[in-house]
Amino acid sequence: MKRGIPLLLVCVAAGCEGESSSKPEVAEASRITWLQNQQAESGIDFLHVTGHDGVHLLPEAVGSGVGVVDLDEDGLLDVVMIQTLPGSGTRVYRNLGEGRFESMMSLGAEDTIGMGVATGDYDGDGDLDLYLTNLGRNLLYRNDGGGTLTDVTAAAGVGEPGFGAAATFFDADGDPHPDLVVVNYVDWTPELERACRNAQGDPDYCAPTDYGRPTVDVLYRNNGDGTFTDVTAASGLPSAPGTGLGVIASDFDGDGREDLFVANDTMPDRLWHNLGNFQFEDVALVQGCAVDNSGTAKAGMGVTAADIDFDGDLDLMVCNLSGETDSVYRNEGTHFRDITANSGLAVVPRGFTRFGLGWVDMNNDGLLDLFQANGRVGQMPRRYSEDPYAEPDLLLRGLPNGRFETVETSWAAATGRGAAFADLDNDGGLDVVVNNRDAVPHVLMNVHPDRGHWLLLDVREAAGGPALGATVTMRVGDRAIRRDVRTGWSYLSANDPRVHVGLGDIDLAREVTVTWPDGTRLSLGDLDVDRIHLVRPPVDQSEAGAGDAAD
Amino acid sequence: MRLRNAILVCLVCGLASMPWGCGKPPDPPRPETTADLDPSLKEAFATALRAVEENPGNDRSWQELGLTYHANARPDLAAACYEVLVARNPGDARVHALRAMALDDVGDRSGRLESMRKAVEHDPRNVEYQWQLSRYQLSDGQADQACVTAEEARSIDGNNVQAAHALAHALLEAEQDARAETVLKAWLVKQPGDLHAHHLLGVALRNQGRALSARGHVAAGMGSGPDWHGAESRVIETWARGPQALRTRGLALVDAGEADQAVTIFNHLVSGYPDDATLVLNLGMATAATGDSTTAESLYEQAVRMDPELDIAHRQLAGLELRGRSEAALRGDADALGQAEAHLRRAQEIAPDSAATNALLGRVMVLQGRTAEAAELLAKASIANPGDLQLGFSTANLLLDEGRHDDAMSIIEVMRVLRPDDPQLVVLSAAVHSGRGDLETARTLLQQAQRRWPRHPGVKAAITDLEASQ
Repeated sequence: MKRGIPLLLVCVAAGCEGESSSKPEVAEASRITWLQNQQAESGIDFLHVTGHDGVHLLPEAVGSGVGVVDLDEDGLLDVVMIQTLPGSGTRVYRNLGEGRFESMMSLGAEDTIGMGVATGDYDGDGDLDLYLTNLGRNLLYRNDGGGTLTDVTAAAGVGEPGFGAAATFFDADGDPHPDLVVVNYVDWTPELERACRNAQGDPDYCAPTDYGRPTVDVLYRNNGDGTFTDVTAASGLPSAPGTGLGVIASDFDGDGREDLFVANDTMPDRLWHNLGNFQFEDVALVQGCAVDNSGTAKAGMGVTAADIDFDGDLDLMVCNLSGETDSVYRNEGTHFRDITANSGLAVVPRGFTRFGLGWVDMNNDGLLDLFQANGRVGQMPRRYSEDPYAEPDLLLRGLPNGRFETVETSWAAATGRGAAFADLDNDGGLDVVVNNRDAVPHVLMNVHPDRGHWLLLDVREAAGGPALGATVTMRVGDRAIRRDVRTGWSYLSANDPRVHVGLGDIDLAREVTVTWPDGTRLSLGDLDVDRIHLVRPPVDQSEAGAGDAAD
Repeated sequence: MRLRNAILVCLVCGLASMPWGCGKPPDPPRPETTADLDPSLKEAFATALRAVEENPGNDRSWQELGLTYHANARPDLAAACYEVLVARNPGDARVHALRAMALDDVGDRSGRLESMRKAVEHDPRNVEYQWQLSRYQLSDGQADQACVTAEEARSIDGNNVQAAHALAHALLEAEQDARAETVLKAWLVKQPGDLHAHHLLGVALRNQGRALSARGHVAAGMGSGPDWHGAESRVIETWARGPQALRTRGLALVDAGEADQAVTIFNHLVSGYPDDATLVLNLGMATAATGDSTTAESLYEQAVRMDPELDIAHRQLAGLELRGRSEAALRGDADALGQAEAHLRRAQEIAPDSAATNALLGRVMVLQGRTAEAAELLAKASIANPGDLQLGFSTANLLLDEGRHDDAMSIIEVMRVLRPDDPQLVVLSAAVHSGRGDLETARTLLQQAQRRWPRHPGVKAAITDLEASQ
């Protein structure tokens, strides 16, 4: 996120009305409705408030996220909307099914400014707990079942007091207790705020580099007894402070350990290679994902990872500021190759400031599509609504040739930040919730009329919680599909822990195999489509590969 | 009869020069609202619009309106203006190119390609249009075609940096990594200081699995963006009337040694935005560049009073303490060095990782004799700014003196990537090996250097020193 005064030739892009010459093209085939904003009828009446009062304070520009998590274990994902304004303004909405929600509870603290949310079963009791990042003390809420949350921050020892942005639970050490990484943004206090101006000369938000105060991310080891130990100092993370906004944990090099990719705002991104024993080494520069072929550090915000080319490893994408292209990296095994232009993503997204980000299969055709939640951080002459920071979100359809093309969208422009992806109504279509700055959210229900077949795999640990870090592989037609169980990606957000796969016209997923983070493998054989399968690990190794543990 | 009348009417109203024929000329495009715009920008839009309204048949007015929109983040409106010009002047390559660039900023993939193709068609020997077309083709997924077009640009002007970068980018996207390596190595013989070319060479090597060879080039090119500003882009930028564009222009003038013009621009801006500490700082920088240190100092102090957190202002104040004085004079002036250090400490508090602050503070400490602290700061600054070779040389020498051989070698390695033909760097490398006690490697390096640069006095002296030390 960079603002102040961008280059003069700033793009003001897609969705332009008026002159015919200024419209980015939308394929005819994409003019059907994929997503419909059903916020008004959903019952999610959350209003995000920054409290902006004339003075441009950095935290206003970057928050906030959104989480989807089944807190009451009723099989429906509830929604957590993070509030920027200090106090207990973060709201949890209970999912009643069929796209309807009701207010469930409020969270937050008087001395914190809400930023993001992460989910994980930190205490191994089979349900997902919540970790909220803040400017100020972060908060850990233990899920006590039935939708009851208890603030256990102090007891757990995870109240990191910095400018927390993204966070994710992940398996750093191969034990069953999920560890936690917190990405901090800038060493900022209100007293350090500066007077910055936008391209038109008006007061506006500063860029993180204007403060010159990058920070160190924080790594917590889960002790397995409900407490964590801050192991940052010896982890290697302090060797490269940054201005982190996005994080994703995955085993990018296939060595069996989860690595960390951190998107930094106007600083080189980091790929923290997990050396084991809570030791990490930044290999982004060597492996080609610190900066893309442009050579410049961009305003990294949202991140997503998936096997977009069906070769079994995880490719990576970071979204950036208006005027900058996204960075799309193909995993080549030993390094990453910048394929942004070849993906067709070097033009249209460049006109927007992209935050929430997801490679997701929206039409279930087996190809990953791309959703980007957009909103400016600096005012520009062209406006899309009364909100000077509002921009339209982008939906791009994945094509068989590896490229993406714009799909027409119908919902109003807003200042999009965090976006969470989930099948909220369990109908096999992925929905999206976007937290919009100083506005109501978008609750984008998937209404695509011609979606293909689908599968949802709810992969669990022995204790019952989602098996974060597990990998699912299968054959769909002539494609080898890989999906990972992961909630921490996009921007400041927590996503559906279940693995979603679109199959198009194919009605059987073949050779489905699940590999848990500890190496346990389970072959499920062929699975029926258009249903949700619950998958648990074999009770002992002799079961592995023996049959169908899905139901 | 009717046909003859029509011809007559058209001749009278000048059909040949009016694409809208004999009807009403098109209304110029305008912003939906200008209520929220900065007054100077609002005035710029209004002036350009007025000119078109008063004389809709005047190409220059339409072009100025388009450029004004384009330079101020309204490429959509600019494209509409250029479209009128294209209709009037279908054989003019330049208006096609302008339209293409506006459509590129709008996100119209096919429109920009079509327009830039027409620009190339009408002016095929224009290197700028060729490399721009290559870029558009590349971002449209036509990597192979982009390679062909960029090769054409290179054949027109083999010294054009954008054409070289465009070709390398296209080759990398086309996964022709070996060819990219060849092209970049040849280019770097001509332009060894092209940091972005080093970055791209690092990418080409890495993509071929040569991570170790890539490392130095990637590190050297870190932070180096491609310069995609061709002639037309510069026209658009310099047309900008917005305050930020003026500020950019003013800073460019300072860099170009046109300090008087820069002072005029910043005085104008400060009068419009008297509460903007950064503009006061910029005025101070321009004033200092004219040689008027006294006024500059008072402006820097004013900027600091307005915004105590403005680290650059503290750095500039420190710079004034040191400016124009010999090293020997400064070494004996503890007060001036103390003042400079105080300013720099304040700047460092505000922005602890600023390479510019660390470099300057390191130099002050060298003058104060605090070499160990200086080495630490200069090393940080040098790593953050590998393109500053002067800083690199002095840092490597200091680290060598401090016995920090590995740190010195890290910096030297990056510099050797940037300047593979610099004998001084070989001498420095040899000195590091010698310092480590590896006299054999030092001797080998120097002997190789002597064969390559038999008359270089630095190499000769280093060999003499090495022999004497044995």
